[in-house]
Amino acid sequence: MDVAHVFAIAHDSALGHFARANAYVYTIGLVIHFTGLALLMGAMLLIDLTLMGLAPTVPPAAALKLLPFAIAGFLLNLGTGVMFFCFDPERFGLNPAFQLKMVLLLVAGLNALWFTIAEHRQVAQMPAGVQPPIAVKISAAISLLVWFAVIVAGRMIVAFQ
Amino acid sequence: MDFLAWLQALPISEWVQSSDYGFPLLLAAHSIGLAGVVGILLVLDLRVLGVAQGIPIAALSRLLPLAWLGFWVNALSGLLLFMANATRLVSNWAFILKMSAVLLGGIVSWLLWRSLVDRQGSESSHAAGVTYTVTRRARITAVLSLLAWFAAIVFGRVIAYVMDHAILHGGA
Repeated sequence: MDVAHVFAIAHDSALGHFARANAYVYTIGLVIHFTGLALLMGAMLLIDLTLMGLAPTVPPAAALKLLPFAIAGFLLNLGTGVMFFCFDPERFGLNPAFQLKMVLLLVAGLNALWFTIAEHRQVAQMPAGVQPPIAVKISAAISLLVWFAVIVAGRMIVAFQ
Repeated sequence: MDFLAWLQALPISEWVQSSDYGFPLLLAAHSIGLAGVVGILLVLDLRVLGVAQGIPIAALSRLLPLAWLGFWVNALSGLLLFMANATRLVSNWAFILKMSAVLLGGIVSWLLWRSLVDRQGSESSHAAGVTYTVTRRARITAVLSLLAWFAAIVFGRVIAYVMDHAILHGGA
């Protein structure tokens, strides 16, 4: 199965047909994508700044309560993003900015996975004001940087068309 | 209109229009600013509406400068985006609605902020264990703030479609 075949499957999927059904689907999808962005980034800013030790009055456990909102924002963007891809798989799949965005998403995902497995439980029990371990701080800084880079790469897609 | 034409003819406006990277860079900056200002205000609104109550509202005040930074990034990138298309945008209904939504969002968020700061007192008093109870008025303000910023995103997206149907699927 080569890439062209995967593109064809995505293009001819029900989601692809739905995305191309009329002009409003894609537009509304973009509105949802930007709302998801705000939800994800607002929650991530507070969580990551807390984990970086920059918000000492916030108990990490309280900041981590915003995770469901970050995840909800991410899922909104995953769903609409997959739909955009199926709209025209070749246009996105062969676009360098899109490819970079996907690599960045992978980095963000692996970083979040590491935190969830290795540190989440321990950090959630830390009282406010206690400085998180250096590994957690670095992971949080990487998270913020990568998510902002995801936004920039996403916006650059149109520049490479 | 002469003023708008003059604005649009400035070298910086022409650079935005003609350069391959003018629009993408400004739109990237505009999206980052959006994440800052709308993201943080969204968290504040959600907190006021009862989400993540373990976060002290005073602690959110530390993020306010970041929300402002996001706002000014967007004011500046938005101004440049406007200058590049001033004569067309001035009569674009989506642009007008977006500016109205931003104005409403700004006023409502400011009112919400004021009511929180007034009732809460200083941050040190909060740290000393003063608990803050969210009033019904604050909740209503938070809902209005959520709606206004959502509307700003919606109409912001629609601007390009109103401007030029040819780029309907351009994702610009």
